[in-house]
Amino acid sequence: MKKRDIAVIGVIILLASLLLALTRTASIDSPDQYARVYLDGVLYAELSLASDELLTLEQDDGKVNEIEVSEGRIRMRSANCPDHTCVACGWLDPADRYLLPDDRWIVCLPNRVSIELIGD
Amino acid sequence: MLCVGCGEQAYTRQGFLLDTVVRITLYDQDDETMDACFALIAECEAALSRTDPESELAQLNARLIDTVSDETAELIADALAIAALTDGAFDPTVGRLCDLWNFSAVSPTLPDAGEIADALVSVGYDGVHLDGSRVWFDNSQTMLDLGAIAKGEIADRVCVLLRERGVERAIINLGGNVVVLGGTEEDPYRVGVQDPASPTGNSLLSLAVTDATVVTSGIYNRGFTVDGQYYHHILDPHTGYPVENTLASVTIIGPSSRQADALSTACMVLGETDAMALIEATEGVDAILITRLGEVLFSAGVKEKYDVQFLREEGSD
Repeated sequence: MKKRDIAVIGVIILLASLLLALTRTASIDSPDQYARVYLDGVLYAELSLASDELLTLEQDDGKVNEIEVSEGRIRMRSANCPDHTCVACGWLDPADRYLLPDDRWIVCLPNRVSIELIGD
Repeated sequence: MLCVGCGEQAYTRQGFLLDTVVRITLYDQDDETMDACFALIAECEAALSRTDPESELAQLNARLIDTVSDETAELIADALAIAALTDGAFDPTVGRLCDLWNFSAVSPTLPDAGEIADALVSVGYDGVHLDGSRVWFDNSQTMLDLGAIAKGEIADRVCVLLRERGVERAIINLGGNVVVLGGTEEDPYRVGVQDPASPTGNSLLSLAVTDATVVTSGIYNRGFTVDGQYYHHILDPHTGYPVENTLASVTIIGPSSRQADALSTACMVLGETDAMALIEATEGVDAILITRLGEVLFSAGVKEKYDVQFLREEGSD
C-alpha cells in the first residue's frame, strides 16, 4: 500500500510541475496582453490575446460585430454597419512599436462597439 | 488603462455622443469628475445639436426663439468673426447646404444642382446679426450649423471644467478633436496625425503636445461615391459643392480648440497657399497640411515646438 501511495504522490507532483512549467512558458510568450470590448461605452468582454478566438456580438436591434483574435492580434472581422470603417482598421497588434495611445482603439461608430488594446 | 511615460495610471472613459466617439482620460480615478465631463458634453449637445428639434440651435433655425443662452451667443459671435476673418471659407450659415448633402444619412444621395443654387442664397455670415444674446437673420431661410466649431468649443468647455476641479492632467478626445491638459516637456502626450491615404487608425506622424489642442479636418472622414465620383463632406460655402483643391487634410495645433476646429475647416476650403498664409498670420497657431499626393507641409513653428516624428515610413500591414 505504502509503495502505491508514494507512486500516486510522485505522479501528482510530476503533473503539477509539468503544468506549472507549461503555464510559465505560455505567460512568457504572451505577457499581459488583452483587449477590452465595449458596447455603448460599457465593458462587454475582455479577450486575452494569448489564444485565438472569435467573438460575435449581436444586439437586439440586429447589429452584429465579429471580433477576431489571432496570433496575438485583434481586429473587427466583420460588422453589419453601413461604413465598415472599423473593419478597414485591420489588425491591432501590440507588437507594433508605433502604437500611439489613440491608435489603440478600433471603433464601430454606427453599432457603438469598440475595442481597446491593453498592455504593451 | 494605458501606461503613459512616467508610469502613471490612466483612466479612460468612452461614450457615443456628438455623433462621434468621445474619450476622456484622467490620471486619477475620479468617477465624479468623469461623470461631470460626460454630463457637460450631453448638455452642450442638447443645446447645439441640429438633429434634435428641441435644441436651442434648432429652435433658433426654426425661428421659434430669437434669444439664446450667453454661451451659445458667444459661440455664434466667434463663429461669425472667424467667418469674416476667412472670407467665408468657414461659414456657420451653411445649414441648408448641410441638410441637402446630409452626409450622415445611411445612404446619402447627390443633391440636385438647382437645390444647391437655392440653398446657396441662404448662405452668408454677414446676414446674421447679434445684439447681446438676441440673434436675427436677413434671410428667413438662413440656418446656422455649428458642426465645424462645436466639438472644439465643447472640448474647451470640458477643459475649463477640469481645471476648475483642480485636474492637472487629462486628455479630451471628441472624435479626433484632441485637447491635452497638462503634461511636461519631459513627459508630453503624443498625438497622432492620421495618414489621409490609409484612412483608419494609422498615424502618419506624431506630435509631442502639452497644454494644447490638435484638430484635423480631412476629406477622408465622411463621404459617398456616385457614378465613380467621390463626394467628401467638406463643402465650399461659396460653391455649395465639396472643396476641390490639392489638400487631403489640415491639422491645426493651438491654444483654443474652438478656434482650431473652425480654422481646420477654413484651411481645407482656402487651399494650400491661402491656408498657410492664414496660419502664419494667426498668433499662436500652427498647421500641418497634407496634400492629396501625400506631401506634408508644416507651418514655421511646428517642428521646433512639437517634436514631429514620422511613423511607419516603410509601411506595415
